Amino acid sequence: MRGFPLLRLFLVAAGLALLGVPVWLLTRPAQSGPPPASAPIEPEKMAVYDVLLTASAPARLAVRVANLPSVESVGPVTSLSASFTMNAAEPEDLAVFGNFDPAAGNSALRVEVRLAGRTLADSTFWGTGLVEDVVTIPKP
Amino acid sequence: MMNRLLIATVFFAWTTFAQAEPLRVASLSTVMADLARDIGAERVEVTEIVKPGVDPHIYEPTPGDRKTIAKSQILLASGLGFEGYLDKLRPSLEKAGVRLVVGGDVVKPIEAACEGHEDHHHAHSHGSIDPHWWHSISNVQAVAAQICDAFVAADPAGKAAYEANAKKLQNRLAALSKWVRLQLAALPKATRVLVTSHDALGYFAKDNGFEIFAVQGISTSDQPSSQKVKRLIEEIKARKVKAIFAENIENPKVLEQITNETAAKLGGVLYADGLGSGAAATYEGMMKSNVSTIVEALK
Repeated sequence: MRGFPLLRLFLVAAGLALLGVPVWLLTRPAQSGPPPASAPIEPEKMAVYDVLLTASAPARLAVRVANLPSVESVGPVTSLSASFTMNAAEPEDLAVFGNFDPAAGNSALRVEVRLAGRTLADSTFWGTGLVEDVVTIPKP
Repeated sequence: MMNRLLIATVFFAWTTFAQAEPLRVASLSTVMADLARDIGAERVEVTEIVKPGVDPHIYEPTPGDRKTIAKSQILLASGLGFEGYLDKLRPSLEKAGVRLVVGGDVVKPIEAACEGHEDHHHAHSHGSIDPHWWHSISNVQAVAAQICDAFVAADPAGKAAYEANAKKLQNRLAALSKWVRLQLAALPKATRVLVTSHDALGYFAKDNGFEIFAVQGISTSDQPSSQKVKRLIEEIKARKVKAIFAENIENPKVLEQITNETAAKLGGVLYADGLGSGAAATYEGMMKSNVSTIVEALK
């Protein structure tokens, strides 16, 4: 050993390098990793939501889910029912409309949303003429 | 008879004189200036220090602005760090007897989703609070009530007028809130992703179930790193985002680059830091313009 300074130098360098590895691992700059992947999308659980609109007086009733065509009554009616198949993990909001004769005065539009016979939302909106609002269905 | 006529004439002249001097209001916020005009009507004179279309993140009051502010009785400011120079103004306001009304004092602040602190320096004074509170209508309702109270305190003779105007405004804001919900109901929840120039629509996102991805941070002075832009492009591709949005006071160049590398189109211009011009020159107009642009691009 004493006669091989190059070997000694190599051994000392190797020892220092080994000692430095844990320090380097702890102090190295954080790598800019790949972009955060979006949360994995769970398989959609589709469910049929039953919607019942009830008006206090005959009115043109309509209900719309997201960007789907709305379900509308043909003429003035006092109730309208519709069913929508939606992702149960995140059901869409319902836009509901009741176009009353303004002469009817203050009118009410009741909206019930049911899933498998269980009531999830039950709201009543009041107004004169066009009564419109949004019903948010609670997540399971 | 002559005496009564004289008294009536003097009273009329006094009331006319009393109303001839409107309440002098200066505003650092275009949104609060609009609310003040609605609530104060002819009893107030509102001077906009920061005008629509000016980037308030980098704005600094000029000596002329400071003189205007010193001559006013009330100064309206957004607060929550939006006006980085506000603390420097405070001593002169106190000296001049100007009452400071800070909208941020009466709203529910939310944390800013400010990414990328490791690769940029903030040139603004706010911490992790999002100062763009006016994108939540309920916050604006609270600030409208605050402005009404400030006007009543400064001009008690106008109490009935201010309160009547404020009530009308609150009704309009409630109607606007319903209009927004009805418009957004047309957007499937899976599509409620907003990619914008800078992170200014956090309150809107919270109210309406959107996720926000912003090229810049909370301020327009935050510059995105190339890594952040790359991450954003990956996210837009993964989420199949249909459209991304520019802002009225921004250079949409970076956004155009992103649209070149993704399937997203440029969805239009949003008013993020205050009011715009034309139809967006009022708060209601600005909100309607933003919501219509978002719905049209993402539906």
